[in-house]
Amino acid sequence: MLEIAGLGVSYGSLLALDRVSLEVRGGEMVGLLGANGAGKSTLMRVAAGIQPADQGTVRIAGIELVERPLEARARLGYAAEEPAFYDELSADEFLAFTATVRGLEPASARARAHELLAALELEARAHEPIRHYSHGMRKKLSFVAAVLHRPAVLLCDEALEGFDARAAIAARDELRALIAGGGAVLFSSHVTETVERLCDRALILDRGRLARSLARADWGGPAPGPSPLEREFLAVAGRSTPIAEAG
Amino acid sequence: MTATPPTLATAFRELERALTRRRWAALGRVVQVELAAIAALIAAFCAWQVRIPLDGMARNAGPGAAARVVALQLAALAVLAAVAVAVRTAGLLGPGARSGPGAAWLALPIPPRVLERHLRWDARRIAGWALVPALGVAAAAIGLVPASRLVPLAGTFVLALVAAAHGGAALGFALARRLLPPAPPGSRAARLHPVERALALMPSDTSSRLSPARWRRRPAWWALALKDLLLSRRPTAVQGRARNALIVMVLSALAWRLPAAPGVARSAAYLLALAAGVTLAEWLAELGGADPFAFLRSLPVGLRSWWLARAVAAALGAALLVVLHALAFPALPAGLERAFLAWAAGATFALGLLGAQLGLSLAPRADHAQRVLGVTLGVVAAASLMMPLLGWVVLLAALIHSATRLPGLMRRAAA
Repeated sequence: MLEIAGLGVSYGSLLALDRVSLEVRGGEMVGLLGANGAGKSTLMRVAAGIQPADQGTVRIAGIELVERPLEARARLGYAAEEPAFYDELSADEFLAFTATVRGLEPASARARAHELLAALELEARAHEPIRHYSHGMRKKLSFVAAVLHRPAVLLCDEALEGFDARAAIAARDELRALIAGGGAVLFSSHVTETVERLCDRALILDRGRLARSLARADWGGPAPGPSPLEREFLAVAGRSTPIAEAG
Repeated sequence: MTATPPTLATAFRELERALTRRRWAALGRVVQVELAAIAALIAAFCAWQVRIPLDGMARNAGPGAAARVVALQLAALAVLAAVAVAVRTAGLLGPGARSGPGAAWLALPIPPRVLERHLRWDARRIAGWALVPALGVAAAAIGLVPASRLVPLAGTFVLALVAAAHGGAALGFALARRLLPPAPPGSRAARLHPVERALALMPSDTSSRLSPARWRRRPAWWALALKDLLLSRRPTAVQGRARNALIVMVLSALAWRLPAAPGVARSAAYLLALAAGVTLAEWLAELGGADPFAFLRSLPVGLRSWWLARAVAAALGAALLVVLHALAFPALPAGLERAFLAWAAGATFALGLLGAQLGLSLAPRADHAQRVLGVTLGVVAAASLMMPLLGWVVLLAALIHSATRLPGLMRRAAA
């Protein structure tokens, strides 16, 4: 689904990515770990087509990103670390615009957008200008825009950072649903615990190089679902619906 | 006014130096060279325009009279600079001002008078542009006004420009203070320094609900064009540009109804129609900076959709201008009416398209696009005055040049 081969990026004398190759198959969620400055965000931006690479190729669902960018982007979702919006539009207007540009069927896109906004507890503010949103709300909206079209390949760059516990659980459910539908997710984070809980495999990036590749069996637990602390939070918040997968 | 504490004074001097360097560097080498070339062209044009009448005056009335004319022209430039600084200052601090860090300044332990000094500095920088035509005027006077008079005149102009910039800033501040809503007597707001009150009154994020979006199936360019219209109705820089364009379009049509001689009304309508085309171009250039580049680069939207959305807006703007003029026309001969409408439609569309292409090719830097648009139109105007139809040739060349730079939008990195 997502194939990255020999990707190289440098900023002057600084080598940000050094011939990085990886693959994320359909139905798989792969975590990308690394310290600050390891090259995670550069890799995500290049894979999203926002930033050109000095060398290497990116294929989204078999389509080469540089050669056929529009077709590749139609199959791609990207939740950015620092999301950018039309701040004077409301979330509702922004998502309607995104859906139109992506050529989605309006009625079902609207229903899905509102379902996602409700799940992330953003629906009550969906008609306010985005400039009023907090950092966490902006991250949630970016996530909704990225998964609205159920992309074949989803790139999440520190996507759940800033989410409250309930929204984080809903977002994880959405990610699992995408995987169950055959999608591929590359999930970048500097929080190992998030990757441990979510991903089937983990790749560790160090100074622009892929230093290690681990399978879930290599790190064992914890089990998917809310952590004990998250369950306590949900109990105190008193707003939670029963979560079936609590483990 | 008491002196600024030395550490703060040093910090602000450093900040101002860094800002000057950074803003110049942010233009990029190509735009720097283009700006320098266009400034040289404008100075040369001013020199050319001034030289011929000044030569006649020097021959007929002597070098003294020519020196007085040069002094008057330089004084007029200083006055214009003062007005520009005053408007800019009032814009920085007046009601509804959105530029600069705004209320965030108040979170820093900086005395208001220091802030005021810094804001004045920021507003004064615009006065420097008066040096470009002044250089042209001075160059035109070489050989016609004795050096013993020209050199002191130039020196006096520089001092007058500095004084005019300071005076304009003071005037702008006084204007901004008068425009502030009155604070209740005895309230905490009444005890604040005017700068603090102005900064505190800058628009803050207050909750407001917008009407529900329309979820419809449309082509991408159509969605982009509708989004542009939506942004133009919201409180953004784009909105101000769109409003200006509409106002000038209506004024240009109303000029036909001026209670003046037909020739005067026709000239006013002609000039205002040109101004309407320019404001349309400014609106479309501003739109280039309104798009969140990183987000849009991840969408399946190609250059064709972008260009089409903005070209359609330029065409609609030209059509609106033509309709307004057709409605406002007095009884003119049909041939003259058709010729004017064809000219207005062509010029407005070409100007609008130039603004759109500059906005796209320099996105997300709308300020760069506005600057390049301004200087390009300056050259177009100068060319029009030099030789009939030469302005069209320059405009066409600018359109082609900006079109060749469009693919850069798709290649550019978000960083």
